[in-house]
Amino acid sequence: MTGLRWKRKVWLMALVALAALPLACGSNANNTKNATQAAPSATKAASAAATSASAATTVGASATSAATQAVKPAKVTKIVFVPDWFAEPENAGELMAKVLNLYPPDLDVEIRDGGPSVSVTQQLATGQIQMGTCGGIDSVMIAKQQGIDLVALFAPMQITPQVLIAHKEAGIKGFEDMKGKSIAVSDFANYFDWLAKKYGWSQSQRVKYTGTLQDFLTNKSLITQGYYTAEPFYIQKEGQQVDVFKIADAGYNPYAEVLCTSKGFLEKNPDAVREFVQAAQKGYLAMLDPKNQKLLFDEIQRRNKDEQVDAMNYAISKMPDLMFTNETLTNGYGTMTDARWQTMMQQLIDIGVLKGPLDYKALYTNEYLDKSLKGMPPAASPTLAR
Amino acid sequence: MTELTTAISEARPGAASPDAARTSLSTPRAEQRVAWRAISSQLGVVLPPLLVVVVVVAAWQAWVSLFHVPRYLVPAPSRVWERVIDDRAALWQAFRSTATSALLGYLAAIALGFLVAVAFASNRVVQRCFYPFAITLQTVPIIAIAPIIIVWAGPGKLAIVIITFIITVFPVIANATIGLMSTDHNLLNLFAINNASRLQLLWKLRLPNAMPYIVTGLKISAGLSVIGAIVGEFFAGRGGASSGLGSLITFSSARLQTDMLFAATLTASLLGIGFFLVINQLGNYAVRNWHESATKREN
Repeated sequence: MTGLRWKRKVWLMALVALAALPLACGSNANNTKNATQAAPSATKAASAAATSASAATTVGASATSAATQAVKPAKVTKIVFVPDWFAEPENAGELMAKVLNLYPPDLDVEIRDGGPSVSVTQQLATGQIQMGTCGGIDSVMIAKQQGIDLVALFAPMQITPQVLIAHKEAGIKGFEDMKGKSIAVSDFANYFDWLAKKYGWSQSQRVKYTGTLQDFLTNKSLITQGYYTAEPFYIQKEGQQVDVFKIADAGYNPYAEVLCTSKGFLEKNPDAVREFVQAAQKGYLAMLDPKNQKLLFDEIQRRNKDEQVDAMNYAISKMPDLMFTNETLTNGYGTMTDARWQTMMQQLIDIGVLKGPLDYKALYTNEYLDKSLKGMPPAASPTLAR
Repeated sequence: MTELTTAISEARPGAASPDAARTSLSTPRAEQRVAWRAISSQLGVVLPPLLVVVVVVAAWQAWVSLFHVPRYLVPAPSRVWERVIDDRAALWQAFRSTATSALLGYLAAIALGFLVAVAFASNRVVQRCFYPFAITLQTVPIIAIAPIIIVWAGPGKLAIVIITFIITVFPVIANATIGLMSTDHNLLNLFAINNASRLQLLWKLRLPNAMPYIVTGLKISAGLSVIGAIVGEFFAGRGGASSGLGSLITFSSARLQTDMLFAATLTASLLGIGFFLVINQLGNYAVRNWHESATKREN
């Protein structure tokens, strides 16, 4: 052979040996014969030894696991839960329950992250997930109109946290003053049409909510949407003064951050649903206890790096204003009433979002709540709709 | 005189015998044949795509019905058609709004893009300094710069036209630049020998020579301008009367109204196709006299 051809053969052999190595390692777990590759004998011996060694350890492991799992649950139900946004205290009750191990052993709970492009409604409808945060009961009714059967189980926020925020310089005293001003609202906000009808706004005032506060901070005449528990804090941190107007005070007040499941899943797994709902109730209530907050904040920051501790503290300080009403004090934390569902349905019909009346009673139930959990008495703030 | 006319008629090809006269262009049957050939060539262009559309729509309807596909995932063509009929006023208004934004952005891209291309073609240093920025205009993700544009221009038509411009301008710049730089060197020398001014050089030589390249750039940008207008509306759209197809798409998507979503998307596609066809015809017309791609030939 000439020098060049010999060099090429050496390279080829080296390449084959290199490729054979992962194959040899990969087959350790399963088969003992390595006849398929021209691997060096050393690799063959090593893999054979490894196979017997791993076999021994698996036997040992299964023995110990059998000993510890003496009381194995009869049936483990897998539940995948997705909230309506990235991880933040407002939707983190279920996450808190996971962190504190409040779910019983017969539930295998996986919590994924939501976000702007994640449609909880569609995922529930197609069975990709079993539980989700539906945003508000208006979303549940709109989904029903499109042929999606969801059931709302638990309303952690009795009062919607949605607010409109204006700069103090703009001198806006109420929703009436917002006529003619540009209002940045997300496409998912159903309240805009209702407020526009009530206060005589025009549709051309509606501009896109870009998700950042940049346009609001630089444009003093812009009004932006926000959450009562979040945006005012960020804006004030930037050194700007704002006026905050709660949508609930105008009369549009859907239950918010509502825990939903699909009708099909509920019918097949009522017990699993009950356990999940009650653990979620406990999770939200546990969030208010400072002892648990460090664990929660660490978990939230692990999932959502942008969430800061001071913002989370602010959110948790504001949440009780929205979580507790006279209703929850009497009938248990998270209950919903026919009257409020009916009001919301009528409001959606008035603005043309719903084509006609629905059987809203079939869209929710309080049956799975632990009614003994009352939470705290409602806040004394006079401006919040009770 | 009769000898002259006889001689002329005899000189015409195929006019020697009465039989030959039947195949000449003057008989009614021959004229019919020519007319039919023209019509069938037109049909040959239009019919195949129409047939494909019919087959696709039929298959789609069958799939949705047979497999009971839920309507919040994929609507049946019948539902989409119902929606188009019921909401044709809203769709037409949105169509006009998006078409206006797309056209304004497109014209701005052509005008400014061409000026930039002239600058690039005239001066190598300028080209080397600024060409990378032209490329950046194409590659920068709109989602990142849209908030900045909205802060500067305010939400609404102006921001949408700016976003359309940004998405549309690069093909115009790139194609016009290369077109202006591709003039035959010998012709340039000829013009130099004849003491042509720079303006004469540009107007009489470089520009006509660059037309095929420019026309290609325009064809690419035509479709992009519609995309640009719709993307602009995703970020900077206003509600109400001036809202376009992009706003319609995002609203109906948020409200799970998939039939309206499909109807709006279809309308947007038609707008894009329409733009492209118009520019295609105009482009071919512009170079019809001399360029290989558009002249009429016998073979």
